Amino acid sequence: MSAASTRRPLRGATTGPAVLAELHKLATVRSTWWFTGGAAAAMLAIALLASDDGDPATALAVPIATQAVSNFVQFILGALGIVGVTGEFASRSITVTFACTPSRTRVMVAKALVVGGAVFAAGFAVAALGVGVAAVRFDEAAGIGAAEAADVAAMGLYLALLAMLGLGLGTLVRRTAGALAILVVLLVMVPELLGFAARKFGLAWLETAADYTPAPAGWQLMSGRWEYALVLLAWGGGAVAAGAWALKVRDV
Amino acid sequence: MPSAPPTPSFTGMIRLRHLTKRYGDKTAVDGLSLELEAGAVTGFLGPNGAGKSTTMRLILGLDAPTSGSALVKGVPYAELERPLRTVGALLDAKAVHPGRSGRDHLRAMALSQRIPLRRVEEVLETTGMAAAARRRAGTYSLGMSQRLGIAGALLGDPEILMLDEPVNGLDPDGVRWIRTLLRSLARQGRTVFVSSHLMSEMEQMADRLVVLGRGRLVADAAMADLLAGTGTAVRGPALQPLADAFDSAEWSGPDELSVAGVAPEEVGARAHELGVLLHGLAPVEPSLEESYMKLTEQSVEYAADRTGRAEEGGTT
Repeated sequence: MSAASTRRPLRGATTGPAVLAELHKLATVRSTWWFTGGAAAAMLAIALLASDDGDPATALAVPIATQAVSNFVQFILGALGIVGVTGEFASRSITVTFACTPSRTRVMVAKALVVGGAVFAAGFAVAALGVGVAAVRFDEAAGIGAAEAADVAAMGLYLALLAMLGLGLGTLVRRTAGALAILVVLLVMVPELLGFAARKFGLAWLETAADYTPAPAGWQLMSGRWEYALVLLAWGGGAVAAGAWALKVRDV
Repeated sequence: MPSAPPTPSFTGMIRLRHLTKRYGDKTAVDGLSLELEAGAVTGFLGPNGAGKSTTMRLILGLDAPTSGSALVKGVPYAELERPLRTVGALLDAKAVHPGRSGRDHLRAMALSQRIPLRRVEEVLETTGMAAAARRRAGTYSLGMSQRLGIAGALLGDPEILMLDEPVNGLDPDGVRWIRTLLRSLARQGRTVFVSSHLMSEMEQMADRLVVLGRGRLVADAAMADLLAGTGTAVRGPALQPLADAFDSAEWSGPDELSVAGVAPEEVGARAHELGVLLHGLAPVEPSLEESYMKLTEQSVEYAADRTGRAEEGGTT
């Protein structure tokens, strides 16, 4: 082998194998399936237990599923994104990952694509399960159509971008518990606190800022305002980019 | 012990230049310059904490050097395309996700390098891990983890193998297996770099010894030179004439004499000339412990000399 052939020819040329490796790794640990199963179980439980106490004329299936995503599923699939990288730091197998694929950017891109893709698929399936079960329960099955399919896709997209945010946080913090704590604070406490401060001090812009944090933006996205996908993409993409930067400047 | 490499040797398969790594105010690797050549097993020896693992991490680009450089075939590791085909490394046998099977661990590695998956079965077979391949890695003993790690190092059929303490946790059979494996890999013309904190492990494995202490190069010598300078032990009922014949002769017992620095052939011939009856004639090799002490003794002076020069020159 000459020196020339050992040099990297094209950047994009080898991201494919890294993606395959990441996909294989994600599929071959039990936690992936436990998280997905847990998300499905939580969704199913809500779809079965939610009560019909509103206006009988209002469709319930999509709001129930959206509620389940906001209250439970988002934490479970967000954690899946976190564990996708912190699991490797915990076992130190991250050293093997970087020995195989030395480019930190390439590893991060591969992980983001795999986590994003897998959580979109899982989130879509879980949301479809919830909408389907609730629709059957409340006799709305006949009314399910393209609009509901779009809602389900919005839930999948929200969860996928959230998992990417989790992945980025996990890469920055390197520990599951720490990253999970930050994610929960970001999703639950930050918008609450911003809203509280906005009312207390009469600062409307804080209210606006709260709307652009991941959970409220996700709520908007799942309510059919697709432009909020860009807000979430900024969160997810920003976290992944920060993670890639941290990998570059820090020792493994 | 070193056999002539049958394939043309690449020079400088791994080249370290003034490699230095500091963590805070602790210097793990201190101005290490080293060149590793193909077709030989280079033993990397030093006490725990001497900087062996850090050096290997720097070679793989896992940690960035504070200064200096580490090149693999003339380029930084990070610039190798499909690096496992050039360098197979085992740094930490337990660095495997505990929930993933050994086979799936290797498959992920293979996928990342476009290595056909049947190669995974081959290395599992070679390392005796085929039967355990379906089990989760968290259930493996340290010895099994080492074998899996070596399977991973062999996966890309690399020219360079770099193993950090590979015999840790292996049973005597496993130790012998590694020794034979590494020797045969070197005979095929590959570069084998293997660390240990035990001198005794290196004796039958390495062609060359590089000794590290506190991050500095303490000694660098061919194993053949280390084991040279043998003497001879003789046994017989009346050895006085022989004792008089050699300056270096010393009584090691009432009817035992050891002659340092003289080969058995010469001692035997002299005994024959003098008509001294011998009951035993055997070569004496210096214990490795002694060689090690000798090595480090030299290097203390060497290091002191280097420091002196560094102070004059202002650089290390």
